[in-house]
Amino acid sequence: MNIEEKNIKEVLDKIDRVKREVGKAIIGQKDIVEQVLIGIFTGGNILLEGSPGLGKTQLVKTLSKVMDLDFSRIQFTPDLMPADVVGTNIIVKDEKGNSKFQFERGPIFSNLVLADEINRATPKTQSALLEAMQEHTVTAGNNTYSLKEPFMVLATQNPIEMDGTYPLPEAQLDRFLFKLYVPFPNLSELKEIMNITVNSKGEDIEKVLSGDEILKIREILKEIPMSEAVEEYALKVVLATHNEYENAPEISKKYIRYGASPRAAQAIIATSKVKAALEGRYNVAFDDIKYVAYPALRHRFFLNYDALADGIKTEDIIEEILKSQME
Amino acid sequence: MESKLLAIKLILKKGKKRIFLKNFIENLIRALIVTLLLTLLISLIARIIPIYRPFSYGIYILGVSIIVAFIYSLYKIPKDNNVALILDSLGLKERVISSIEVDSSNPYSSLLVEDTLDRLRNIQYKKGISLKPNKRYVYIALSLFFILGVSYIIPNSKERIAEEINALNKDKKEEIKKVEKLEKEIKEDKKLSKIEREKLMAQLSDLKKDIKEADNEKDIAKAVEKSLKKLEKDSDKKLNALYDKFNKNNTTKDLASAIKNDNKEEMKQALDKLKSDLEKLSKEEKEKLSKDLKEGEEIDNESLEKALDSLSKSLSEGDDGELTKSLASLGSALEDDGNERMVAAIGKGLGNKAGLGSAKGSGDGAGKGSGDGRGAGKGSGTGSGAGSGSGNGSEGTSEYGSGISNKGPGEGAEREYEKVFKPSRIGGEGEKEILNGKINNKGKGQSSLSDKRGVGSLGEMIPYNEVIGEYSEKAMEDLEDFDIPEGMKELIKSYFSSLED
Repeated sequence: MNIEEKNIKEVLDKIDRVKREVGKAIIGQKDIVEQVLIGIFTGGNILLEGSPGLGKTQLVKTLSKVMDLDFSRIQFTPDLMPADVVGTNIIVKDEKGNSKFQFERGPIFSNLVLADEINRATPKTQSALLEAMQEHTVTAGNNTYSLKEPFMVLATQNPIEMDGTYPLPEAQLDRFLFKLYVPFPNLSELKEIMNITVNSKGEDIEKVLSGDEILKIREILKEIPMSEAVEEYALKVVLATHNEYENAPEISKKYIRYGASPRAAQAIIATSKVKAALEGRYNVAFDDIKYVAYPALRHRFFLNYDALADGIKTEDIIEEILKSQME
Repeated sequence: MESKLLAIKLILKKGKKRIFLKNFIENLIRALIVTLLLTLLISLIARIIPIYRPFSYGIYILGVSIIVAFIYSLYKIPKDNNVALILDSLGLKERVISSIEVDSSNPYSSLLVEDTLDRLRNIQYKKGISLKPNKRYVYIALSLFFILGVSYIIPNSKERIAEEINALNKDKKEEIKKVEKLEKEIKEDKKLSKIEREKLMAQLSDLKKDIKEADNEKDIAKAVEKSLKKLEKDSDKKLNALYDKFNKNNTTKDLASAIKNDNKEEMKQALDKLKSDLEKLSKEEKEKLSKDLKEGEEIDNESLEKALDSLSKSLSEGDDGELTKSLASLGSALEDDGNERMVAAIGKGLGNKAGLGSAKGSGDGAGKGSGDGRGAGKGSGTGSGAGSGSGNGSEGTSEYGSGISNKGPGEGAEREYEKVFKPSRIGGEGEKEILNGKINNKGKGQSSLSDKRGVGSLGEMIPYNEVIGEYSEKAMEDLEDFDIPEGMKELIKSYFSSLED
């Protein structure tokens, strides 16, 4: 793809406009909005964790409006079947009245899919979604169907109701680009939310981008240069999640059971470029790495019982790793 | 884009210089701290072990530390990438390093470089890379400086001892330097035989060793004197061997006597006379003389030995032409005795230190060699008194005489000497009358008697250095007159020289 300077400037301009448009409908949660945008422009899937009613669905809806993308929502329940997600073959009659099988596409055939409470579905149903997330295809019988591009899954987990759920296994969690914690809004944000939702003071959202443009933007943003020092820093951060790494900080060696996979390094490097673009820069900085490290790593390494006993969280370890590898 | 990249690199260069300067200043402060610490340590040690001028070491340590700091700062000059990262840390968010590394084919390269240059020109990198040293180091340096100052003010009981040791070491060095200079001269002297050279070198080597082991100036002087005396003894031995050879025969007795007196003029005259005397000898007499010359102790002087062999041979062969040549070579060997010359040079070179000892001159002077100074003269040399003696005995050809262990007049340090009782005679010392005494080896010596004897009475307490010269001189004179074994003579000489110490 031939990228020119004007293309780059246009891209940065559009990204800025998207942020502003989304900000009209989503109050507060600037980091969440930014990180979801990063996910979209990187081409990854995001896991959102937060209590009900924090605007997760609203966020995805707003994004789909701004980016002119198809949106679908799947509410995961324990009795949900894989066919309910991906679709199934149904018997239909043709013009001559003969019966035949026709594949009825499921809700996954959309650009933006909100998989609500993914941990409530059975592992079988989860795997159907996860396969689609990974391959961007759906296989039914002997046929494989491609999903619309850009395709992105925003899965949610409710941290409160964990009883009777099927937590995603570590290997599956690794497929999510980011894991985001959706915070509860503060007073002023809450007021603003009321204004928009209850008091009908919401603004109209304009369409800024299309699906094709998003694909082009992804290609352009991939070219953002990253210096060796910054890249090395990102890789050292991932390595430091492994306790056998010689330069890993003490906290890693003491509290980490399993370290992050190379997918974590890919996630950090890819998303840091988008972050640099969101900042209006033409290069990746250390600060970008530090910013994306939290959502990219927190679901990718696992703590041992000592950490549980000592009340150590993944955020604490990530903070220490970022500091130690900077020295 | 190339020009913009060049402009960025230019700013990088300036940044590099500033970083180097900053590092150098930091390293200088560290060097100063190290210097102050070490100097403090040395000054503390100097309170237990005598160290000469302990604070002066600080200057050397500082000099070395500054050089090391400079070299280290040069070694640690950051590379371009590191300089770029340092500049980026001033708020440029890795723009500089990315600009340097970006491939020109990258679509972002141009925008990135332009953006970087704009921001680089706007940041005040000089403020960002401040030359102010780390405050902590400055405080440490100031504290150490203060402590050092206090240490300097507090008196040190070992200082005096250190000064004395230093003076002694200096002295030793000077003396060893002199000895080494003499060793060099000996090595370069072509007229010395191998044996003579080895003996002289061995002697000087022993002297160096003794000087190094000396505990004080007196010991140095003693070592020098001991060495000079040994050299003198060896020289005497050679002279004695020559004397013995020539003294056996009546024809060569005059020459023997001249050799014994170590008088060059006499030797020359004796040789001239010998030439005609030898021609008058019969064949048997020549044979006998030849035999006498071959017998006896070997002379450790190649040219003399050769000359004697040649003379002996020419006598036995009866070759008058050869005889003349042999006598001539004997004459030049006697005149230019390399060993004696070196021994004289050694005496002159080291004479300052050993001036307290007895002087023996081998010069041509006619004086009695007994100045008013402490030095006791022997023989016909021009022994000059050392130290505070008033006599310079310079009737010979050289001011110091050509002998060993001479010191110039009026030289030497002033010392306080113990006082001894010197009795005086009532009525004065009495007149001297001349009596004809026997001619002894001293030449035309004369002694006197007085017919007016004084009676021993109250005398006075005077410093012994004022009388020791007299007593030593008298003792030396008597050594020759009495039949005393050689070993005892040495003992007596060293006794009187030790008194002068």
